[in-house]
Amino acid sequence: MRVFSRNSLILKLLFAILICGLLLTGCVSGRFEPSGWDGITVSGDTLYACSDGKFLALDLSDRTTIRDFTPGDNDSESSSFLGCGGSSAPKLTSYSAPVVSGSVFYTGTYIGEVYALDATTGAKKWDYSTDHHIVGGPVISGDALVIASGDKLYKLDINNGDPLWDKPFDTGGKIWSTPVISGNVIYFGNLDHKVYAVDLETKEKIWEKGFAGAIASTPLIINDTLYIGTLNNKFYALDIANNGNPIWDKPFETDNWVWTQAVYHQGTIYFGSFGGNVYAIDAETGKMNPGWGSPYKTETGDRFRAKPAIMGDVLVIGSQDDNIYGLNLQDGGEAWAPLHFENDIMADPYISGTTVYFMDKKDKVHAINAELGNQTWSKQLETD
Amino acid sequence: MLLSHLFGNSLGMAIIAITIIVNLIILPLTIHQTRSMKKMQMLQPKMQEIQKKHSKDKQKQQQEIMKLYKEEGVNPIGCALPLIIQMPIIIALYQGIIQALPTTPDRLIGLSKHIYDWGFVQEAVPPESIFLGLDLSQPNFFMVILIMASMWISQKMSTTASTDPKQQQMQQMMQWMMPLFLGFIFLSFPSGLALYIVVMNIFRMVVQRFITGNWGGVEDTFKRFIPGRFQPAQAAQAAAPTTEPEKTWTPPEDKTVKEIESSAKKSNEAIQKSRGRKYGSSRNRRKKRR
Repeated sequence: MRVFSRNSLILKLLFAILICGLLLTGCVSGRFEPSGWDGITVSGDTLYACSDGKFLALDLSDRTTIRDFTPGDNDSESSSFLGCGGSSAPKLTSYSAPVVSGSVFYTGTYIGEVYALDATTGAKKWDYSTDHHIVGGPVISGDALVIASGDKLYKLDINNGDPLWDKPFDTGGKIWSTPVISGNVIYFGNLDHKVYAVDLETKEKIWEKGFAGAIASTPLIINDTLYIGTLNNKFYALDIANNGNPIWDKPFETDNWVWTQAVYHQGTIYFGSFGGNVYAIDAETGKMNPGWGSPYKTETGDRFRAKPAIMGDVLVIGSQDDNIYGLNLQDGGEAWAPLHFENDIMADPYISGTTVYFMDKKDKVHAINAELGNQTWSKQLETD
Repeated sequence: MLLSHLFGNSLGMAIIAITIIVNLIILPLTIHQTRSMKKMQMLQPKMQEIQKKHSKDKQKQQQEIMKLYKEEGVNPIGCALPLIIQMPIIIALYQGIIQALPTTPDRLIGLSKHIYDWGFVQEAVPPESIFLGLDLSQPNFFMVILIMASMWISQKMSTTASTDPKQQQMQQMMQWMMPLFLGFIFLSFPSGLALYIVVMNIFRMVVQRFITGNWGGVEDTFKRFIPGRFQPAQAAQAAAPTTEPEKTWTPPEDKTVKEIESSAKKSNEAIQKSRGRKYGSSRNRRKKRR
């Protein structure tokens, strides 16, 4: 009897360890869930955003009305056998800004769903499932919506979501940048260290160019030149009419990764780096803008992931150190003292009129007057 | 990242390489541990004797066993030392794999803080997570099966057979429960970490095989399923004769009838004398009384 009771105690102990293991499994798996940095877009008097797994619309006229037009199938997705306490990422987590075109709201989510919703009523017009993760945003050209998912590029009909290519364009490497369309050609970079040019109609690859570093940023195309940064601290200018051959003698060396999309203003390219530096380089020569002399360095050295915005003579850029910086375009000096907020600024801003809109990582929208350097208003996007 | 770069940006090969490197560094400890285990197995009969001898005095039993360990130079705790040393390495490797395999953009951004600003390291970002058809950044059922199987075999090889039936039962339970337990955990871990565990187990099995010269308990287990190819120890013992050879009757040497009667008479006389009676049968004594 003593033997039996001792064995049953051992069995109970082992069972308890097994249950703890299962719970630990659930707890650990939550660490791998994406958090997203949802972008914003403005159309008319409405600001649209993906926020905490919901599609929301903020009326800019009164800044109080928030409409929730999230599709009904927004359940949390957990990859573990048992959940662990806090919630997993909602299905509508995204890393890009939505697009509004012809009163239809288009967006792609991390789990691979593409949605088209009526921008006024929120009614779903169509949705399309891809098999991989979507990180870059959609881009629209005519009746086509182009979006990357995993290592594939999709072209969909904006009216009904039907694929317009027999099968997606396969690259073999994850595409995390938003494609750019110029002259019926789609340009994008991928983590497999390549930049592609693909014909929008025929899906034929026009050229591809390999680099030493991976590419996660969205290209900028100005005057047949494609500007793009890489994750091995370099910035390139490629001639898109000449098979993507580099224009500069050598790539521009930065201090750290370049993940922001660049902006162009009067012959100068501006972008930020992961080392907390803002660069201004001559678009023709690939050298540092003489007026700047050297890059602007933040005190924190924290990452710039968001794209800069130009308003008048001021370059506005949000940082992961919770600050928004305003720099003079001519010399790179501070136009006004950095505006400090409570959360990281990771998503690209949106310019509308004289206001630059940012959304921070906790889904709070900030409206900045770039010329004066002050915050006009802030609004936390949330619904009951 | 350096190893990944050396192996053509393959994180799988880098994980295998670092596993081998780590296990080579602690190889002296592993060899010591395996030899200790082998010695403990050889000491089992002596321990059994001690347990029988001092079955009623547990304290004396323990003392004698510890004395035996000391005399033979065996340290029971030493068996766990390589595992204890590897724990921080496993934890560090787990963190390294999580950081180096950016499953999401957040993680890739986090990686930028943790790598050196050397050209070839930056160019290795992100490492190739597909290895032999498996995505090392995601859990994989096949890797879970491999972990469970390799853990079971490794345990089977290294477990010292106990003479105590209760301990035997405990050992058997642990041999099955631990692999199952690990398997459940690794259902949610990246298979890159599972790859490390599998390679580590295989390395230890090979080392043990070289040192002990056999596959330990695994041999006996598999011999049951391959009859005829090996001579199972139990069957050989069962086939061995256990009874003594039958005694055959040998006829006595040839003698004449007179010689036989004479020897019988002599033996009868001896018997009567030992009983203290006069020679003569009872019939003769009754005739004399009449």
